[in-house]
Amino acid sequence: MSPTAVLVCSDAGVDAPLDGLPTVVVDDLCHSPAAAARALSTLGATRVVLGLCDRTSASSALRSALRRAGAEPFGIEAVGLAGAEWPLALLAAAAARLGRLSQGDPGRPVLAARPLSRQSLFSPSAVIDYEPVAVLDRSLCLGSDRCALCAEICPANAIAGGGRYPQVDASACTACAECIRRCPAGALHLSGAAPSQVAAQLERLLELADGVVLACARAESPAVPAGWALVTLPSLGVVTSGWILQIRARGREVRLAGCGGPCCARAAATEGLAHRIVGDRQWPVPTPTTSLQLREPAATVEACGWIGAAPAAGDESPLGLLALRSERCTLCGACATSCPTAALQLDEGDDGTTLRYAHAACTGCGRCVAVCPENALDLTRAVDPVLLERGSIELLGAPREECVVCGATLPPAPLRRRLGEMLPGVAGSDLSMCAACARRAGAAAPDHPQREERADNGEDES
Amino acid sequence: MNGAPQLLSHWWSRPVDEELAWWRDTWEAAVATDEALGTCLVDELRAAAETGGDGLLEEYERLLVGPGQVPCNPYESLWRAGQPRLEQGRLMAAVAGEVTQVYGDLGLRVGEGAHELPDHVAVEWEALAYAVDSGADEQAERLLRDHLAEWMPGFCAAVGAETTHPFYRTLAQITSAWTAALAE
Repeated sequence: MSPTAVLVCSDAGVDAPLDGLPTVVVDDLCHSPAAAARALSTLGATRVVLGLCDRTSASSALRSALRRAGAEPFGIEAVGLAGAEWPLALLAAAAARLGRLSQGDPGRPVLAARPLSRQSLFSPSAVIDYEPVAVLDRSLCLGSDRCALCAEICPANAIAGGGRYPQVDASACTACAECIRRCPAGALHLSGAAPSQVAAQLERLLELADGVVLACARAESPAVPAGWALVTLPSLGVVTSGWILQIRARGREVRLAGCGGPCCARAAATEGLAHRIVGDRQWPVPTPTTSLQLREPAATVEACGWIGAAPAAGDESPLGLLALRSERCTLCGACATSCPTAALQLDEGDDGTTLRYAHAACTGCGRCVAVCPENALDLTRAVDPVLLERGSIELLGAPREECVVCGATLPPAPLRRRLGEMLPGVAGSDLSMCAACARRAGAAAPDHPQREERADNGEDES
Repeated sequence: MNGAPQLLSHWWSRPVDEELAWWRDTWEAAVATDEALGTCLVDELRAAAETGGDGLLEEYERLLVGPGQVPCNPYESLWRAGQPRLEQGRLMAAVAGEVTQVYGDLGLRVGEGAHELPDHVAVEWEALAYAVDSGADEQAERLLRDHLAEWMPGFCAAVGAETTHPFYRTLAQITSAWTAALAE
């Protein structure tokens, strides 16, 4: 028994079954919720692709009936087949999207399709739909001890970061997608619209379509040019520059159709950033052979590699761009320790200490800037293709030095110099000796001012 | 035309102050619906409501509420012909269960605060309004064709014959005409 079935409206003009999936033609499907529910029950499926003749989304009554017949909360994909050039491909693409649906994607239950005008007469009696919410994939999450950025930035305070993993409160989540855009690990998605799901749908569509309209589910009748395909998303907040670049790198056009509400407020800026990254380059570039990647920052990084993109800055950049004021940096390593994606790494090898930076891994979370005691880092949100191509670069290095007394490896010179400035005369501040040797040397020197002061106070140096 | 079920639901509700205020706010929309459905009765209904307002509640209760036997029972169960003998003349017959099933399909149930049976005239019209607005065409069809269109003609004829108030006489005419127009 297949978990996914296809129900096609009898007026949609599709007679052939979809390969590999049980397909049933339902009389007047668009207006026959009960018949659709009976068909789904008979097939025993929990996910369903609807081929509709006069709509692009299922009515609340149809969704409600299918839900009662066993459809999973985000297991309904509707496809408008009116005037479609390749209806079977549209259905197959929607089925591919459902095929990647995570079992148990939660949502916020909706009791009534629309506000009841007379609450005095009727009350909602059943969950008839689900609103998408942010969903955390624990297998990708870095864990609360390393990163709880989602909890810190959630404007609705819907994410608690106290446990081992952040917890999303579905009842409070507004699906604004802010956490999704900022998660350094790409561990969050909106229910029913995980990047892997949308990628599976897009890959099928891009085989045939000249372009794709990515539309918010709340957008009213998005215009779809002839030869293009429509992909509906819970919010355009999930669309990043990388999505646009990945599609364009395959020689296809892409447009965003927002609803005009807050959930789509960033769409124009995201499109603008993608256009700036593309610059004057001509399309198509050599067709990528890898599968469509929509998880950031990999999506943007990978696409920039294909197109030889232009540097571009913008708040919607999935990448952060760090600049180091090397005269301030002490190579203390606090930034590298705090970096959740290892974009900053402090290498302590035989030759010395090196602070390395990989732009491709920097998601601009800002933790490094926050912890740097010397205020030596500047962060912008930008994509720098040249820096991406260079991979991991050295920001600052210091050669290995040994204690002149015992031969032990010394901390990097910038750090010892800074300690010397901050704590003049304290053991370890001698630039040529390790802490132990410097302490012994200090003990042998009777005129050491701080040692004398401690002795006066009766403190034990040990 | 979409507004017709909503208007009828309110006009067949108990004419207390809250309802009368709703009527006042929606006369213009009612005229537009009236024209769309090809009837010309709303102006007359409005005049009757405004000039005969004092006796509205009394007439509503005499016709539809009681106490005791009422001349025009507002429940579908009592108006359906061809029912099994054991159901004839009784409240909550099988049709009440049928409309409750339709409400369930819409994700609704009659609220406790309604203090009304599911096959009351105002409740059925309200459910039809919700179904139409929600795009639940199948449920709307069932409510209209299998229920309201079945008993509104008899019910309206009884109200028209029994009432002494111009509002309810005109409302019976409008309801009958609109039901026929919607069911076409």
